[in-house]
Amino acid sequence: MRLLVACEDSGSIKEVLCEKGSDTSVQNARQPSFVDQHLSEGFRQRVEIMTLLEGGNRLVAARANGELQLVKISEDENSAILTEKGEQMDIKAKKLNIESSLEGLFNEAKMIDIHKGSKKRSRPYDGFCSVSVAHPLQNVLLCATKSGMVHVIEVKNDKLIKLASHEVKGPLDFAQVYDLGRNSKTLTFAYGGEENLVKICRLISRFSKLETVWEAKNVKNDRLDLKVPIWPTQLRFFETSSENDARKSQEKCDFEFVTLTRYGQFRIYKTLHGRKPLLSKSLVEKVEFTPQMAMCHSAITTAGNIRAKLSQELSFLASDSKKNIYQFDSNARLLGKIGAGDVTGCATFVSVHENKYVLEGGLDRYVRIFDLKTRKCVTKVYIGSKVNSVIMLDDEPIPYPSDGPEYSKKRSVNKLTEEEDKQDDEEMWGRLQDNDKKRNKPRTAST
Amino acid sequence: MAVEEVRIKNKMKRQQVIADIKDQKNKERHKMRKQREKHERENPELKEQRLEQNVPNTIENTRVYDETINQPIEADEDELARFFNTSNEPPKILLTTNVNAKKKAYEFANILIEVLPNVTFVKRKFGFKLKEIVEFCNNRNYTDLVIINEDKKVVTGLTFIHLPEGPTFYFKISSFVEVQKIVGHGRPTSHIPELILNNFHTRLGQTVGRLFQSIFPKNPDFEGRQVITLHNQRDYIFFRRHRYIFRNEKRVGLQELGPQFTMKLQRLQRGVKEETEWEHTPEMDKEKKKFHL
Repeated sequence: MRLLVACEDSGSIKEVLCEKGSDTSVQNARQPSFVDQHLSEGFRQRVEIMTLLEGGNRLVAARANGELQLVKISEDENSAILTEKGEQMDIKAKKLNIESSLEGLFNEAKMIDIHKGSKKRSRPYDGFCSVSVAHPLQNVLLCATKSGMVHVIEVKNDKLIKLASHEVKGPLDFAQVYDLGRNSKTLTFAYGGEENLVKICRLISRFSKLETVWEAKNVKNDRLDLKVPIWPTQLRFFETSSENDARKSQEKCDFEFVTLTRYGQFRIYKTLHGRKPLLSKSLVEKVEFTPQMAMCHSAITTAGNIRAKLSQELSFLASDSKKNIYQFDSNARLLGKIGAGDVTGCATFVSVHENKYVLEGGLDRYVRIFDLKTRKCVTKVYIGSKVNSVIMLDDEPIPYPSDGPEYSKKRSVNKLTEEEDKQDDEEMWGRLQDNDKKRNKPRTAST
Repeated sequence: MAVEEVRIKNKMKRQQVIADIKDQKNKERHKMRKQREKHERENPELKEQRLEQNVPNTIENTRVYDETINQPIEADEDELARFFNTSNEPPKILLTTNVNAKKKAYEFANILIEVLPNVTFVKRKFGFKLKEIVEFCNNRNYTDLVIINEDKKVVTGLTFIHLPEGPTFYFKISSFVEVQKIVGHGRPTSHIPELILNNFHTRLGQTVGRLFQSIFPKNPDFEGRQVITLHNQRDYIFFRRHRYIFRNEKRVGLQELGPQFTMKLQRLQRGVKEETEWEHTPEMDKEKKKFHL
C-alpha cells in the first residue's frame, strides 16, 4: 500500500509504504518499509485538503495560508528503498513537484465577524473547506473557503487558472459539488455551515453568475418550542428516485441528499417534497460530530456523491470530537464503532477507499487502515504529526526482493501428511469405540 | 528442612519449629550479607558487577513499548515559537477559579500566585462564558489562562489554556500538602525559579513538558537557588519546590519550600476546549505497564 499523508505539525506531505498488517506500536510486528517527507513548508502553510485529479498522477493541495498548489506525482528514479537486510527493493519512491500555485483565495476579515456569532471558542482562521473536481468538467475545480469564498479554478496545461470568484453567506463547513448530472455547462453545488442552512447554487454562463436554486428550511421547534440550532457539516447527493433523467431533474431542481449536522442529526432531503427534511434523526445524544462523513457504497463519484438511490443497504461513517468513529445505516441506526479502544484522539480524517478500506487519521498522530467489512485494524502507522488528510495511491502489496522480513511469516503449524492424518483418524475412532463399549457395559448390567 | 516439609500435627509445636527454621535462615542470610559486604569493601569491582547483573524488574523498566519515546518532535521553529511566547516576552498568566468557588479554591489560588510567575488573580463572576474570558485575555496579551477547579470544598483540578490558540490541558490534582505541614520548610523568595522536568518521554509527555516550559520564564535567577521540579512517574506528575545550597564540592543541601501536590493529565484538547487530542479513560488503567507520558 502506498499512502500520502498531509501532516499538520511540519506542513508536509508524507509518503508511506506499508504492507497489510504493519503496526508501528508493536515492536516485533511488521513495520512500514518506507516513510519520507515531501514539500515541507511549516505549520502555518500546512496542507489541509488533498484532492487527487483524474489519472492519479496529479494532486491539488490546499494549504492553510490560502495557497492552492498543483502537485505532480512522479517516480523518483534516483531513490533506493532498502529492506531491513539492506537489499534494494524494485519499488521506487515518489517525487512530488509543484507545477503551479495560486494564492490569495481567503477573506480573513470576514472571519472576525463570523467568530462573534460562532459557538466555537477559539478564533477560527480562514481555511479551505472543500476542493473538488466538478465532474463531468474534468479540468474544473470548485474550491470553497470557510469565510464563504467560492472559486472556480481551471487546470490547463499544468497551470491553475482562476476563472471566477463568488462570495456566499458564510461560514461554510462544506461545499458539495453535484456530479450526478451530465450537464457540462453549469456547475451545481450545495453549501452550508454554522447558522447557515443548506443552499443549492448554480454557476451559469461560464461560471460568471451565481444563482441560488433552492434553500432549506429549519426543522420544527423542539418540544420546549425552542429553535433547533443549525449547523450542517456534510452533505451527499443521491440519484433521484423520480422518473426524470438526471439532466431534466437538474433543470427542474429535483435533488435528493442527506446531511449530517454537528449535533449529530442525520437528515434526508428531497427538494420536490419540500424545504424541510423528509426525515431527521438524532444519531447519538450529546455528541459533537466533526465535519467528516464517509459513505460506504460501491458506486461513489469523485466528489463523494452516490450514483444510486437512497436505500437500506447504504451505510456511512461519522466521527465525533472525542475519539469515536461510528458506522450508521441509512435509518440512523448504529451498526458499530471503528477502532474503539485503540484510537485515542479525535479522527480529523475519515474516508472509505473503494468500498474496502477505511482510512483514518487524527490528532493522535497515527494513520490507521481498517477493513470496512470486519471493522478490524489492518495497518497502523505512527506519523509523528497530526494528520489532516490521507490518500491511498494503491493497495498493491510491496514486492520484496527475497521472501520479505522474517517476522512477517506466521509460525508454520506442524501439518500432518495424508497418511498420518488417516492413521490419526483411525486411532481416534478406535478410542471412541472403546469408550462406547466401556460406557455401555455397566448400563447393560444394570438393566 | 524447609518450612513446607514440616508435618507436625500439633499446631503449637509446628509453629515453634517453623519459627526456629526461619530464624536460622535469617541468621544465615545476615551472615552471608556481612561477608559479601566485607569482600566488596576490599574489592569494589565485585559490587559493581553484582549490581550490574541483578537489575530488579520494575513496572517502569518493563513498560509497554511505545514508538514515540525519544523521537524528535516533528515541528519547525515556527510552531515551537507559536507555543512558546513569541518575541521573548515573559509569560503573562491570568488565574481564576470555577464559578461559585469556595474558600479552598482561593487558598489554593494564593499558593499558585506565589508559584507562577507574572500572574494576576481575577475573581470569577457569573455570566461570563469561557469564550468571552478568552477574548478579554487575548485583548490584554495574556499568554496563559489557569482555572482552578474546586468541587465540594476540595480542589480537584487545574485547567491550563495556552492563549490565543490553545491547546487546553486538564489535570487532576491530588495529595496536596500545605507549606506549613512540611517539616523544616523554608520561605520562598520572588526569584524566578529553575525548572526540572523529569521523565517526559513520549510525544504526549513532550507536549505536557512544553506546557510547563512555556509557563516559566526561560531566564531563571540563579542567585535565588530555587528549583521547581515536575517529576513524572507512572503518568503522575509530582510538583515540588526546593532551595539548594552547595555545601562543598560534593554535597548539596536541599530545603523544601512547598507546597507539594500531584497532577495527573486527564485531557488534552486542541484550541480552547475543542476537539480532544487525548483523554484518559478508565480502560487505560487496566494495563498496568502502559504509560502515556
